[in-house]
Amino acid sequence: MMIICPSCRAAHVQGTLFCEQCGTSLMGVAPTDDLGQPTGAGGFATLEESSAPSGNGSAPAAADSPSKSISEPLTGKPGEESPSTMPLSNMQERDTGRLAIGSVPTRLRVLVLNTGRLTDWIDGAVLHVGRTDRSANVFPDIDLEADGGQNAGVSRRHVRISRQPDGYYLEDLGSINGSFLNRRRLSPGNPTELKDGDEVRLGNIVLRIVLGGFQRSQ
Amino acid sequence: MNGGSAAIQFAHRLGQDPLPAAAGPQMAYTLLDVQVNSAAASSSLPLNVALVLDGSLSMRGEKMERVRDAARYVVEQLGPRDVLSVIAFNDRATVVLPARPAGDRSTAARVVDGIVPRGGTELAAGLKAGLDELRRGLHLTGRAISSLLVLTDGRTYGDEQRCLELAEQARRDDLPITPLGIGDEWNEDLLETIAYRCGSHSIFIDRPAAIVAAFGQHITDLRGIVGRAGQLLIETPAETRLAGIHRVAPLIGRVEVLPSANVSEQRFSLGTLMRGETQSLLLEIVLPAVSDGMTTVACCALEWEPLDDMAPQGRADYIISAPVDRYAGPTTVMDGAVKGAVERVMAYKLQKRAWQDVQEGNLVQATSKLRMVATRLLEAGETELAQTVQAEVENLERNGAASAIGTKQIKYGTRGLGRTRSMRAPAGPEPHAEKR
Repeated sequence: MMIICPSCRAAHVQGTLFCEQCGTSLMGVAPTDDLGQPTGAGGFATLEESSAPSGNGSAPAAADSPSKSISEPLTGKPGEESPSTMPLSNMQERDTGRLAIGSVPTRLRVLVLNTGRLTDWIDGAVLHVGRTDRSANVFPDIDLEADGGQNAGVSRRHVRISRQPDGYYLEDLGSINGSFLNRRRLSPGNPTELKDGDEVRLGNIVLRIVLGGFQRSQ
Repeated sequence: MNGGSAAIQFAHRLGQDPLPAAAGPQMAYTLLDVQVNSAAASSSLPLNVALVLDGSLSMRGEKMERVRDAARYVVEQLGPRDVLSVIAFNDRATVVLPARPAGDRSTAARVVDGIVPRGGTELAAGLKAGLDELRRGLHLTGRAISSLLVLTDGRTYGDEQRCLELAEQARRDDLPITPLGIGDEWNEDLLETIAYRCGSHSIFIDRPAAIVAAFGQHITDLRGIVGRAGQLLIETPAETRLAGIHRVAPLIGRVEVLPSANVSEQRFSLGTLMRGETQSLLLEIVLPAVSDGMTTVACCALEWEPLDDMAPQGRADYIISAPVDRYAGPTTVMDGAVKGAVERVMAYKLQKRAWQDVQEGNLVQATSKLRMVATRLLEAGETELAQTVQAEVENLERNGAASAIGTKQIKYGTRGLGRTRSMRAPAGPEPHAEKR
């Protein structure tokens, strides 16, 4: 069994925590068998993840085919670091393109880079991000007021993050100062898929998206 | 779990304990601690120290004042059996204090005070003169612990290759070079390579006030050496494979792979062994299919050369084994210390690749990697360094080039992530040698 990075599709042995190629967290990503099919067995659970509901199954599933060694051995050359991954393109050549991404995130958390604040994991289907305005009865799920949102140009209802069957999507709600995903401006009302590690700028507040709770896709 | 010998203590933590039973290969992260007993006898050998000081014009002012303070401090720490030499270099090297017993403190202080900053920076000239003085020092002391401490604030031009050749010579002659860089102009890649070739490490000093402490710490470290040429041997059972090894503490970094005569084992350099110091290593071990029971993950040994010629070679052995449980699976909690180590090593590796991307002009890939570095650092609770990384991302996107100071802060900051918080804290007025 192996784990496929949901961001760059590099293949890793089961139990790998982070993608060697791009650094994306692989915790909770469901392993696939050698044919790329989801096995139903979950990966590692972290302390945070173990306390949250998970549909990752309860025990490792047996692989149908013999195990494959993915990593290259360490070389004897001083100073070299050995890769412990193989790009998916190589795997596809070996396995005739039958690998599949078998997991989607089920919860997220946000890092506010301006202040270093890290939110708790949130697993709601629809999340609003903005700043609280009690007089207008606006209470967003992720409130940036304490991060200086008002002075930084964050609207009360700035963006919406919605969980779809294939992942999370970000949508600008017609904010005054606009929303940027990885430095690209979003068109209002046009949901765009989020990936782990994405940078979202709302006014002058910059957020880092952290996805987790990966489950096999339906 | 722990074990070892009287002088060396081993201990390890598994990422998952117990490991889940699996029908295919799985990654078993393991943190291996190699600790030198704090009661181990330190060397009675004298020290043979060469201070190679940048005397270029850019050092004038507070930097040179603190260098003089630091040199005086070193003199005070040395005893009458120790040998000291002082070299100032700019466009050429000047031996201001030839190798001599360190008992004459007033002379040493006077010659250091006489260094007047002028001219440019030619590092190779300083290194060569320093190594020559160390060799002369050995004639005075006989066996000794030698060290060349070089401090520079500038970028040397045209003699980089010569510097690396001198570092190779230094390694062969067991005359290790420890480079210290101050400010934001010096070439950290060159200094780090020089250090690496000597089995040492370079030190980033972010402000002049930290120079004295850095020099003092170095002398303290030399006094604590109990063995050298430490080598970690790792042998894994059939079908088990060591896929990666990284140093986590005291500083994060690569571990030098050494040639091994035995094909079933791999050897890694741990350098000098210091009393009370713990070297932590992150092992990435790929296990084959495992079922319930105990499984051997790796057999480890540490070999080292004692400082006393008459003593036999030191060796301590340790076996890493792990319980395997079919019910462990996804509900097993990942060990926090191991997870943190993997996160920090990942941040370190990604930023290294990002700088390569910058050098190759791949700014989009570089900023992408640095963003992920910031994510990993924030997850690991390293907020301040993550914000430094984020600022550098914005700088790269705005100016198309990395800033000298940002690059150094990130390179040395991620390397220092292996230290505990208390070790890294700049704590009051006491200067610190590593910029976070």
